[in-house]
Amino acid sequence: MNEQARKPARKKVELDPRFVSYRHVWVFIESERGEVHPVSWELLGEGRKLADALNVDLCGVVIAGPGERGKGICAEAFGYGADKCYLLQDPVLADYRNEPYTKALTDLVNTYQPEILMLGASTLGRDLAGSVATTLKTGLVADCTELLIDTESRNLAATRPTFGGSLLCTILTQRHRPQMATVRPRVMAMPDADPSRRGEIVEVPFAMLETSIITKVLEYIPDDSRDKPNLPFADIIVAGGRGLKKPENFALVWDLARVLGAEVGGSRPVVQAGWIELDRQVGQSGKTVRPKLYIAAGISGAIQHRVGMDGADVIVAINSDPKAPIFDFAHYGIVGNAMTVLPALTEAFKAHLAQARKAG
Amino acid sequence: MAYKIVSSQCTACAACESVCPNVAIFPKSGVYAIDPVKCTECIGHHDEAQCVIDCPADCIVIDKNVPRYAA
Amino acid sequence: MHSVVCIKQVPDSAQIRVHPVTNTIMRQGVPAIINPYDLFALEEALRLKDRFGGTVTVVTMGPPMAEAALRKCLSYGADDAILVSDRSFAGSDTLVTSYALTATLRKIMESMPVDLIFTGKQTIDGDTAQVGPGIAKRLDYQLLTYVSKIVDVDLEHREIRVERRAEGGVQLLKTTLPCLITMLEGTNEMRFGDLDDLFRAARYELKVWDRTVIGIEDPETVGVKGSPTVVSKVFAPRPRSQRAEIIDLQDDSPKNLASTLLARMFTQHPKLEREIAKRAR
Repeated sequence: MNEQARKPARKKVELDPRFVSYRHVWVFIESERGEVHPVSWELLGEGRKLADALNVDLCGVVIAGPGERGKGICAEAFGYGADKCYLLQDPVLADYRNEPYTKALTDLVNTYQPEILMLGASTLGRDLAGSVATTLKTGLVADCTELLIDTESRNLAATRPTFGGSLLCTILTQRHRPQMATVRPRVMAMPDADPSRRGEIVEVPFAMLETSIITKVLEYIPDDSRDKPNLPFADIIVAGGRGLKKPENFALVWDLARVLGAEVGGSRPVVQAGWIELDRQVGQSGKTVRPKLYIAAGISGAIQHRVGMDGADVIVAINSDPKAPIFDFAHYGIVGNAMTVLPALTEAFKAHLAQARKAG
Repeated sequence: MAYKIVSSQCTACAACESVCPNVAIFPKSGVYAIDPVKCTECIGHHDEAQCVIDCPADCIVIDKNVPRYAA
Repeated sequence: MHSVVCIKQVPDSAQIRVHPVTNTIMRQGVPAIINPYDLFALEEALRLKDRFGGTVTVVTMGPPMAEAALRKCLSYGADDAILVSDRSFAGSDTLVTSYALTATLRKIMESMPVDLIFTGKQTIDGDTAQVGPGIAKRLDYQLLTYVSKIVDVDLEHREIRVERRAEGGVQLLKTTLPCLITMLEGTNEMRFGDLDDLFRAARYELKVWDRTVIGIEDPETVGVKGSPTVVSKVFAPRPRSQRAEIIDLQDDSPKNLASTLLARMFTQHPKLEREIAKRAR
C-alpha cells in the first residue's frame, strides 16, 4: 500500500443512457393574458450564459391562449437572447391551469428533449415546475441564486438557500434530464434587449379537449393594480421592522416613502402582526427585491430578511442596537431611534428635492 | 488506516452508507461517520473505496491517525 | 369527510449557527419544529372538520424523532397520526418523498377513502414546493396550489370551490373531490389545542410504518439511490466584507445625522441622486 493513497478513478455517477442525446437550454416564458412576467427575461439572460458554456442553443417556450400575441412574445424573447421559440397556442391554454399546462410542457420536453429547463419561481412557475418534474421523474431545484455549468460533467450546479437562508447548498441532477431549476424574480439581472436579434419560431400543435379538463376557472379577479404593491420591481423601498415598536409608527415609514415615491415593505414579524399586508413582506418567505435604494428602519437584519434584499444597490440601516446584524452588510448605518431619525430623513430628502427642483 | 468523513463538508446525503461492504458508516449528529475499526479501505472487496467514489461532496479522506490497514 | 394533512418536521432555521471561525454548520442542538407552512394546512383541515364533521389524519415521513411533530398535531385536534420511517429513506429528495407519501396515502385509502389532501405551500428547509404537486400527479388528484380560501364544499355533488392566489390576481376555481390543496400562508390562525386533545395526544398509539408496510419493495427506488437530485455542498454565504459606514457624529441630532447621510450617500452614489430626483413627487 503506497503511503499516499492514489486518487481513486472517479466512478462518476453516469448520466442515464436514455438522456445522453438531450441538448439545449430551455426557458419557460411565463405570460398571463398576453402579459409576460419579467422574470422570464431575467432567465433568458441567465440561460444565455449556460447555453454558451455548453455550446448549445437557448430556446424559449411560449404557452398561451389563441390571439394572446404569441408571436409577439416570441419576438421579444429573441431580443433577450433566445435562438429559437416553441409556441403552443390553444383555447384550453388561455387561463393558467395545472393540468393542460403540465401536459403541454411535458409533451414538448419528451419530443424535443432539452438538457436544462428553467422557470420563474412565480406562483404559476412553482405550480407548473413541481408537476412537470414529477411527471418526467427528473430533478428540480427551486429558488436558485446561482447557476453554473460543471464543465467536466456538463452538469448544472444549482446553488440555493437552505435552512431558511442561513446557509447555501449546491445541488446536482447527475443521472436525469432535463435538469430543472426555478429562479425567483429579481434574483438574476435583467439583460439588455437587442431588438435586432432574430430567431426561429416552431409552432407546436396542442390537442386537449376542454371537456377532459376537470378544474374550471369560474372567475378571475385581477388585483386592483393601483394599490397592489409591486415590491420586486420597485426602485426605492422604505421598510420597517419590529424596532418601530407600534403599528402607528409605521406612518413614519409611509411619510418617507411618499416623499421618495418609494414602495413600503416590512420584515416578517410586522407582517404577521398585521402592521402591513402580506404582499409587502421582504425576505426568504416574502418577496425578493433589488432596488437602487433600500432604507431599513428598526429591522435587525436576520438572515431570513437579508436573503430577500441584500441585492439592493444601496442599503441604509437605522437601528438602535449597534450590534444588529444588518450593520454587517448595509452600506450606511445610523445607530439611533428610528422614530426620530425617520422624520428627520423625510425632512432632509424634502429639502434636498425642493432645492434640486429649483436648480433643475 | 481507515477512511474518515470530513463532517464539516458532509451534506448528509447518505450515498456512502449503503455502498460500504463492511457496514462501517452510520448517521452521527446530523451527518455521517465511519467506524475506523470496521473500515478496511474496501481492501478484499473492491479496488477502490466505494464511499470515496460515490460521495458527491468529495469529502471522504484517509484518516491519518489510524494505523494503515495491512491486508 | 376525511382529510389527510402531510406535514414535515424541520430544523428551526432561525437557530442554525455557523461556526464563526471554520464557517461550518453547527447542526447539533438545533431544535426541530413543524414546518410553519404546514400549520396553515392543518388548521384549514380542522376547520373543515368543524363544519362537515369527519376525521383529520396527519402523516409525516422522517426519522423516529419526527413523532414529536405528530403528537403536536394531535394536540391541536387531529384524529389519527402516521409516522413513515425507514433507514432506506435517508437522503430522499422531494421527488422520492412525494413517491413515498403517495404510497402511504394509497395504504390509508385501503381502510378509509380520502376526500382532501392538504400540504403546506413549501418547507423552509427544502422549499421546492414539489411534494404537493408530486402527490397529486401520482394519485391523479386535481391540484389546487396557493389556495387562499376554501369558498365551499358540496359533499353531495363531490365539488369544491376555492380562491387561488395567481400572479396578477385571484382565481375562483371549481373542481371535483378528491383533490389536493396547498394552503397559502397567512390565510388562518393555528388554534390552541384543548385539554383533552392534549392528554389524548400524549397517550395516542402512533402508527409507525416502514417501507414494506407502504408497499415499496425495492430500496433502490427510495433514499439517495432513488433521488434524481443530490446535495453536493453545504456552505455559509460569504458575508459582505465591508461593514456599514456608521454615521457617527458629535452632534448626533436626527437633523444632523440625516443631512450628513444624504451628503455622503449622494457624493459616493451620484446615480442614486439623479434617480431620486427623477422619481420623487
